[in-house]
Amino acid sequence: MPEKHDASLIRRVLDGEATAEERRALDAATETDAALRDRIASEERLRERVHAIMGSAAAPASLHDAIRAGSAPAANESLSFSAAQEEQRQRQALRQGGPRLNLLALAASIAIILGAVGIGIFGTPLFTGSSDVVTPIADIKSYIANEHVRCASDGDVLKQKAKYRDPVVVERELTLLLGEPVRVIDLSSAGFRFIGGGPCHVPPAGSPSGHLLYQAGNGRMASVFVEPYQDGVAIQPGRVVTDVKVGLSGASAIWTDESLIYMVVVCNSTDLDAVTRLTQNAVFNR
Amino acid sequence: MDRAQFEQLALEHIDAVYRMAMQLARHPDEAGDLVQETYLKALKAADGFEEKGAGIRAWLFKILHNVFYSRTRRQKRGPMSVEGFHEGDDSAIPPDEPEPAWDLASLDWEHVDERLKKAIEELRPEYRTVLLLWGVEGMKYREIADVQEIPIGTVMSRLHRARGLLMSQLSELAEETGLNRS
Repeated sequence: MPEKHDASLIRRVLDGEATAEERRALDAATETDAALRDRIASEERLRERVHAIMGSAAAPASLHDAIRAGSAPAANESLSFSAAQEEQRQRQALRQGGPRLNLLALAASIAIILGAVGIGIFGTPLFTGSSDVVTPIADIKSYIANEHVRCASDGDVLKQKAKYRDPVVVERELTLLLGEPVRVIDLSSAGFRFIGGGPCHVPPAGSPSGHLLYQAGNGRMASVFVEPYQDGVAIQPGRVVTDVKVGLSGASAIWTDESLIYMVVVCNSTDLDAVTRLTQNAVFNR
Repeated sequence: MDRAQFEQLALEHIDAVYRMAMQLARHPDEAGDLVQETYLKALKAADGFEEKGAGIRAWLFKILHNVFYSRTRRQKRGPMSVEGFHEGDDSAIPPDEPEPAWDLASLDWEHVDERLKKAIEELRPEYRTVLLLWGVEGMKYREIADVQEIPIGTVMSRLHRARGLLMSQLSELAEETGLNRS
């Protein structure tokens, strides 16, 4: 035992984290050192008081209820839209039973994905491969760039994207806004859950558009942008323009069914195929 | 373990998870949000949980920490930035505080709780969370390191500093109340 009683050693001994030899040395020292005994007693009382002060908080009963209400599993998460609706219902139950979901966190997540895309648009070539793409690349490049620069830089726009959480409400509002039927697509089999949607209004200014937003594990996000098909946008109907390099890890695909233009954006390029396939299957009722 | 059993077992620790969430978020609503998200993630991942090691409580704490840090990174706000959490931190035990010249053991401990509570509130968040896991949850240094995903030396230094700061507050109180021996 050091002559000057080492506080870190005393604490390790009291915490049961010291070696047997260290414990024996401290025990021996306490027999002849009254100050050390006081010090040890003080340390023990400190822990006791820390326990009393910090350990008194308990979770409110409403939190217990909210978690129980929200924990009922969906029967089968691969069940198309009903699973997404069920999850949404659970989350609503949580929010109603307990504190609010943090909208800022959601907006920030959206900013991450859209911001990453925006950077990629200006930093890398837009299209690779797909020699039979008939769309003028410059037009689509301009189209995507306008959309994402605006989205990523405007906080109010970001919040609008997740204005609605209930899939039924999202479908209703976007259908009204765009004048074409909009469906919230079930991406659960690709690991994504629907987290909200809403109007986007770009591009260009005044032209209605909307977003459907999804989130998977590890913060991966997917966004499905929709806006009415316009004659001036020469995207070949049904053909997916993909392999769009956006940023280091993001990717995008775009196509139209001649009523709406769809653009899928994912943070992780490995998600692109699955998200695009599911979205196209839903759009074309495959 | 089936889902119902897992849920029951997980909910037994909700008070502990909430306490930790309060230390991280510093606001009941945000703490509640953190706890809800933690349990949603835990229940979704229940199939992958293996009841071994430090057990379900440590696992819940770990999820909670990940949820909190993910939010902090995204929101760029909160009690302290993630980067700030590690600022000036090292795993070395700091030099020992001077030998006290007063008798802490003779303090009227029943009346020092308010002072102690204030001192705990003023601790850096990373000190408070380690203090909680040690003082309330009774976790070992290794378990705390695992939950917080930091080296065990960092756990020891944070805990040592936190206790040292609290003891300093008590020594000041002892002096104020005339318990100083010298």
